[in-house]
Amino acid sequence: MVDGHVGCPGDEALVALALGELTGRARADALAHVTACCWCREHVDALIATADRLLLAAPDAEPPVGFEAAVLDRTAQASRAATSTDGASPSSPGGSSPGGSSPARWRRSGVLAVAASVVAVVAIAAAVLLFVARTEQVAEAAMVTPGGREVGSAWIHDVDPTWVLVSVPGWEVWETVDDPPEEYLLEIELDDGDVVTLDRVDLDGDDGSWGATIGLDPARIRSLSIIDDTGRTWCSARF
Amino acid sequence: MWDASDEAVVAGVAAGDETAMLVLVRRFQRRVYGLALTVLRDDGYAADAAQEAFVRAWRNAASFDARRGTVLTWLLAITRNVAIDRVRMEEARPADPVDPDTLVRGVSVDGPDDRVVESAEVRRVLGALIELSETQRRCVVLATLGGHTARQISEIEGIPLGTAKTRLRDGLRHVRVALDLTEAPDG
Repeated sequence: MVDGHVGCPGDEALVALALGELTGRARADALAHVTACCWCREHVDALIATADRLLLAAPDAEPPVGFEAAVLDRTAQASRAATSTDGASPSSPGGSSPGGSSPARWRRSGVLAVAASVVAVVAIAAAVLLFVARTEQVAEAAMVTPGGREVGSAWIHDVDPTWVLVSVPGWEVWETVDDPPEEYLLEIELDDGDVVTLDRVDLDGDDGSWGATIGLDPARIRSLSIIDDTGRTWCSARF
Repeated sequence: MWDASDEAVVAGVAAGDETAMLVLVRRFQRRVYGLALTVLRDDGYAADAAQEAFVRAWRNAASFDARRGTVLTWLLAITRNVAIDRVRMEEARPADPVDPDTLVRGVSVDGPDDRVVESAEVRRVLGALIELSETQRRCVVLATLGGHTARQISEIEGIPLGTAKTRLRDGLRHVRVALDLTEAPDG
């Protein structure tokens, strides 16, 4: 039983986490714990699997007339929306010059178009994010340097509010280069070519994790990039 | 594609195959809509939530991992979350407290054998629920199928919050063991 582990949250707290009842800071704290505690992580994973399996007990029902067509129409609309806003074609992660940012990707400094609340999620491992979001409301993409080297992953969690997380293990190697940056920032490119920047990505831990909640429609996010205060792109994930 | 496995269909959806998406909807729409209706108890809200669930599945098909469960449980989990989001955002709050026993397909003290169910897995799940005490079963069903929080369960059942949490915790544990799911080591 969880209660026998010193420092672990109670069984009931893990049940609340597994069933999606926790929000905000409580959720972030619980996630941070299960990241570090393999016992709790396995326990929550098992709880989620149990809860998902129980969904099979729900009775089925005949949907209303036109349901099938409505679904296909909505996916077609979503598909058109995703492809119809190809305005300024962004430079690919492998195309940006390490020496400077692409001219098309300007920083919108000052007034941010989004209300961003930075929640310092420490050392969120990919396995934690995936099992918490087992409904696959999570989009994942590889973080790739301008030179094409895969250095980590990024996730967009489709909940309200939207979560974005990045993990770049070995990030501290960046610090060994000459003239390391003063700070890192997260740049978000939207489907209309617009770009917004969240200040100060505090990469933490061995896996260089950082996350934040943002007030953006996750479906509009085309890419996430870690850039430095000179505008240099360190790595990007395209969705 | 029509005779393809569920996993192959999802792979087709991920690849942008429109026929695969049609197959996915046709194959699972009754289950998806049924769960949405179970949570929301309104035809219109349920239809909208079920449609949104399929859209989310379409959007995230590439991230489906067969090692973590079947396509059906994946879809139902998406559906549950969409439906609960609707409720918690006050968009579709059911007017009446749900009766847990009506949520389950003919669960009775006589066991599930008197019901026609389409898969052994569903029978196992129903059997696991039958093995619970009535109080635990009600809490588990209210939480997992009804989408209620522990606090809401305590209000519906007229019990202290701590009692609701305990029944939910113990009920899920019993179901997990009954279904032979991964059991975390005791500390």
